[in-house]
Amino acid sequence: MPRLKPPFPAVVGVFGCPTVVNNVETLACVPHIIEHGGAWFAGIGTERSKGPKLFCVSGHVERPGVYEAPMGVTFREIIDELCGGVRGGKRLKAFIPGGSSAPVLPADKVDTPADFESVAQAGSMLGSGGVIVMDETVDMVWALENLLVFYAHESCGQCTPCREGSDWAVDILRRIRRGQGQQGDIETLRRIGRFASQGMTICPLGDAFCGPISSFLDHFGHEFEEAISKAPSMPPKTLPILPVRSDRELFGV
Amino acid sequence: MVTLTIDGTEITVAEGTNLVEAAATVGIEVPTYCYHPGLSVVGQCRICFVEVEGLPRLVTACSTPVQPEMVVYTASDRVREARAAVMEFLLENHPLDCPVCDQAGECGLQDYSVEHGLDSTHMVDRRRTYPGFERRMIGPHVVQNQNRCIHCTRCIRFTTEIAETSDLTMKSRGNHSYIDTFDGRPLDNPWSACVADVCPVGALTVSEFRFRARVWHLEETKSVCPGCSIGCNVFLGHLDGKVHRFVPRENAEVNGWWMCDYGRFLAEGLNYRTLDVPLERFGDSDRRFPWDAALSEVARWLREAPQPLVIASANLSNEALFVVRRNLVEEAHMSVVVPVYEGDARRIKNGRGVWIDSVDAHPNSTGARQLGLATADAANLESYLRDGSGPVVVLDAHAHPWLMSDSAAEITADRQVAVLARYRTPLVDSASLVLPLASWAETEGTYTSSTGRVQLARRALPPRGQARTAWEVVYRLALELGIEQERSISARILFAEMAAEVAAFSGMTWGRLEGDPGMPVHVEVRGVG
Repeated sequence: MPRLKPPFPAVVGVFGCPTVVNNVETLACVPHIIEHGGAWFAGIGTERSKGPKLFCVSGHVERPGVYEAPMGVTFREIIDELCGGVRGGKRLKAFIPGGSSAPVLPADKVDTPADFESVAQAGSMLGSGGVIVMDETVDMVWALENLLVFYAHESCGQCTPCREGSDWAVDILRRIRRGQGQQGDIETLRRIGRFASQGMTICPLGDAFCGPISSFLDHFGHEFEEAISKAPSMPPKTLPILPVRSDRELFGV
Repeated sequence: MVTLTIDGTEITVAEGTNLVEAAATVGIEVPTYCYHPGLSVVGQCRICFVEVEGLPRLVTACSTPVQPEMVVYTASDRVREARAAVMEFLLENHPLDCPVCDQAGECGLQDYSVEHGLDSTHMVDRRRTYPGFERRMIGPHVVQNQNRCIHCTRCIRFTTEIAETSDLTMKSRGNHSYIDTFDGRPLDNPWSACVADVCPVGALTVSEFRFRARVWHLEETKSVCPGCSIGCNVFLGHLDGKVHRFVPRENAEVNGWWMCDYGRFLAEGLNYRTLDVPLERFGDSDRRFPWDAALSEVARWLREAPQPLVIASANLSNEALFVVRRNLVEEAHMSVVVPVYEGDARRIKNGRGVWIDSVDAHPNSTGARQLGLATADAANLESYLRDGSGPVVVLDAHAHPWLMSDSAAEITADRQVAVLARYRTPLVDSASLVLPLASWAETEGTYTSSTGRVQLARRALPPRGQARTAWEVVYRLALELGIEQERSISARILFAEMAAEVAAFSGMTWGRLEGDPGMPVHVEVRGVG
């Protein structure tokens, strides 16, 4: 379970001792740097984001898999050259550049270089390098729901905004997909996205599911609006007036 | 000491104080759910957000210690917006069944949604429910309604940190996590009902008090628990002359924020009374008798008989015992004995996390000893009664299990016995005179705890019927005996006289006892008894 910080793991971590938490990817670079030297490592990649990066490409590509490429390679190169293009020759609709918690980017950002600064500038994050590719057939409401089901399941249940917000968002998206969306739903989703992120929770899981919510609505909001507009209008909330059955005249004034 | 500014007010507090406590010193209430001063800080309800100048994000006040020069805003627009959002998240799955919820009136959600919440919700979906968890007895005293739970984990932390029994745990995770007993065993630790006190909502309620009274109707009187010598501070909740409950009252020196189940459920018993007028033995039965005649009758016995025995009680207040000491022991030279017995072991954790233990079943045996009265166990008491033949005055028929037994009645069968009692016991049935005694709730007085702390229990109710407090009876008896004079008298006056006369109480005033969490008796006499 995530706990309140500070103290950070570097001060008090596992067994109460100072602890360093690192990715395997980071540690895997260490022997190469020792063998070939820092200058060699810094020669790969861009000026600020140095070294190679593992891209775990999944989704609608011909050859999904883990690819190593220098930082700064564009996503078009990753998708078209490394992975053999979008599956079945379909058009690219969107891609998530850095794991499911990174904000989604639309197809026109596909020429963004895959380094930390450029991706941040494009409005997302490189994160783990887990690239999720979506072709034109993808229903974005379904895609967001699919992501959020994962986060609602992963929420540990400690902090109120994450525990309640993740599940609430799933409920709303499921309802929209069932064709029962309502006018205020997008506003509510944005509200969840705003108030379950940005330090409102103990750990970054709140930010992790709010990034997708906000970015899906920013880039593909029209799909959500369309799904909601297709919903049959809700019955009026006023109480129906029951027909009165009586032999006598009522309220004879 | 650290100086900081909260909402424009500069304050100086001790280092390490968190912002909730710091704000409270200047009367600013930061809302909290998961934070409890007696429990560890987890910072997970997220309602206590405050804005600190220079920090990009809001911080939780409960988990942020004060820093020098800190500038804190507890009600800025950002803070209000965030709190309203957290309130909405909390209420999103809450059943909003306030009309049938027993917590209504002392519910954190009600209080803060008025002050900090939105006036409507964006929630239109089905609320999360826990079928089968709506009315579940999770222990002998606690009813759980998981639908109302806000997952603050105060109850879990209570059982882990205070009771040290770890009965409760959070099962499952995410939005479907729920509170359950560990391993399915019942929540039956000796302090189990405290989880209902720490629960800020109606998820955990005490089955004994459920639906007895709406809490906003209750009058709460500051009192002390009569269960044992620890003397936990309580609020005595009463309504229309009936005692409904005890809830612990904060006193870091004695009981922290807690009390044991045994003491808590003595409250209902205070209502039990079958005697409310003085009675005189009349053949095999008894008949009503006026108070004044009863007192002069007892006084006549005491004057005429050579060796009267007075059985006082360690359940009586210091004032009552002081009147006994001054009038009956020092002036009239009667033999007075205070029956005491060891009951079950009780313990409570004080506000600093230190256990206080007691096997002494009386709330004031320490006071009795400090007033120099002789104490006696059952065997001693029996031999006292067997050896004498004079009249016996029992100031509290319920002071000792032996006094309530048949053998007490048999030994005193052929003697003149006057008994103060609330309900019938064998001794009451065989006594020559029965006088109605005011209950704990009907008595105002001070009691000395086993840790040597003199504490004040206020009177919650007027004595029912013609019942009188023990000090009043002894004082009037002394008037009849010509020892005392007619004068203005009250527990407060007696306390002042006692403070002037008895070393253990010197320097104490009633007024300070009203405010302070009790006053320790003087160090040099603390060892006595």
